[in-house]
Amino acid sequence: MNRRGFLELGALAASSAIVARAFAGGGKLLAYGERPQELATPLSAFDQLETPTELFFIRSHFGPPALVANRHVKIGGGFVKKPLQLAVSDLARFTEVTLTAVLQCAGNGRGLIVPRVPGVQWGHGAVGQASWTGVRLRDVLDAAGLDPSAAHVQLAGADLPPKPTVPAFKRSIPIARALDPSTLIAYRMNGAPLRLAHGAPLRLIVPGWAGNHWIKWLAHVEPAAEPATGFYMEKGYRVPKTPIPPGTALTPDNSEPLTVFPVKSLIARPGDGEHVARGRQEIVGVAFSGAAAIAKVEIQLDDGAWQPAKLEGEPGAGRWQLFRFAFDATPGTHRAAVRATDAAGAVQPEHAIWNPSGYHWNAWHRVTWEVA
Amino acid sequence: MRALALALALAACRSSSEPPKPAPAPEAGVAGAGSAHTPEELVALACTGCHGPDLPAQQRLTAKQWDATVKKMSGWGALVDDKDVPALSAYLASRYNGSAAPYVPPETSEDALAAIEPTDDGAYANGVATRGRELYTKTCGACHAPDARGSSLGTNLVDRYLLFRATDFAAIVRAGRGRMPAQPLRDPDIADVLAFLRTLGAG
Repeated sequence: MNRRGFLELGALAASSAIVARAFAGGGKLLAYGERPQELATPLSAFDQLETPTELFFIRSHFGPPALVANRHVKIGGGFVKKPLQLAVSDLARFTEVTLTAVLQCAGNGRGLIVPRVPGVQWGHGAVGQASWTGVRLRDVLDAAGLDPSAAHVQLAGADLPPKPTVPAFKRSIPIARALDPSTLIAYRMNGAPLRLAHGAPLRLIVPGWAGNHWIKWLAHVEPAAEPATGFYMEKGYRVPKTPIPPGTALTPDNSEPLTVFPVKSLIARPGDGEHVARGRQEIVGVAFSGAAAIAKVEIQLDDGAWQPAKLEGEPGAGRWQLFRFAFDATPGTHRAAVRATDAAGAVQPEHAIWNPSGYHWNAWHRVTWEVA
Repeated sequence: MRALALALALAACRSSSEPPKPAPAPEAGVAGAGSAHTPEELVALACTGCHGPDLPAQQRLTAKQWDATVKKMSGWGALVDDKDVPALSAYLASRYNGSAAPYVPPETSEDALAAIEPTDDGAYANGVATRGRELYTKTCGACHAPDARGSSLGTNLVDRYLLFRATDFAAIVRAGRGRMPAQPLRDPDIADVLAFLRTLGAG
């Protein structure tokens, strides 16, 4: 076992009971921050194809702007012929699209990474799947007369930094990603109008890409020749191109913006540390990959051989499926680990790749529980 | 007076549900600068203007990481004197390091989605923006900036969700927060200030 693996297992062994309680939760969001809201979905909710909106995680940089129903998104800059200002009601002229997609914070799992790194110390709960309804960004850019030489689309929300000295949250996505038919400007989530915490009135939907691209309170869309600049492009949301030793810093020549989230699976139940009645047991959870559909999910029970779990739900890149694995348990302590493989061949690793900001944690999820 | 204002600010950090309290008039400049603060006070004064104390409390960092974090936050406008940075970093590193017990996030106690959405204006309805502008300039503008977009001292007040949660807004004004001393404004005064701030929009 390498040093990273040893440290991860050591930390887990030392604190598994408390961490289990912290990360499992019940029927309410778990607060990693009350102001601004940094709220996690309890693991127990990951036994559904659609995460209920009231249990859907909330990540904030600066907290929301005012809820203004007619807030406009401005499509402007030098790479459109016809700048537009569009409120929700103005989007009716475009074809409406509904799709199902996983939204995951880039830092989900940061609290599990060793050596530890600063940031919101998410357990497993900064992820969820919802149905999103809106219009294609591509159609809106077409209506604005997009200059075909644009190479990126720069984006900003209406949320302002708390002080002028705090960098604004500005991002960009490459033009190909902006023109992908799954990239939406959304106004509904799980069939209901977006709530303020989730970006009302308009947010960007970028299936398969980490949540930092899913701009809430979308206010500015500006095609450009270059990517956006600033802290959140040049310092934040970057990962090493090739792995670096744990505890070391990124270097300019070995750093790139994170985009697609890697293959991952999570066990919703049994909960870690849970006591359950004897008899038929079922391990249930979700599996997803930003790059491709899920090909298989396997369970390792009590350190035995990996066995396939059954999958439910529609497969697809950037969306999750449920997995189920049933067995008859003897009384006593049981352990399970889960790993997913996507259709592109990526296999969820035993240990996540360490990086200085704790992005894209996707190690095997393990639970231990007692059967009476 | 400074001590009372600080005590009220700290009380506000501990519980946002406490009723508004009368408070002394605001002081000019940075409250507490140049004086000796306890580490707990430094955290409250430096950090809680922009985010809750739960964010530092969940970190498990080395002394070197804490030092870098405090310096980064100071560069972003956290109100901590240079001479207090080592003490603040050392305190955070002594409490929130790899040996500390795992952070257990509490369950949210209310409807988290509703907690940031607009509420009825109640006693703070029908404010007059022109009066609010005068009052804002006299009472708030020195720290929050004449255009209310924040300064090195105060946070941005333009286009904030809190402007449509009048009761919460009033409670913070009257209790203070972080470096902000409590402001003993009457209901109609707060209504006027709110009416003014709502005219600023996002632009």
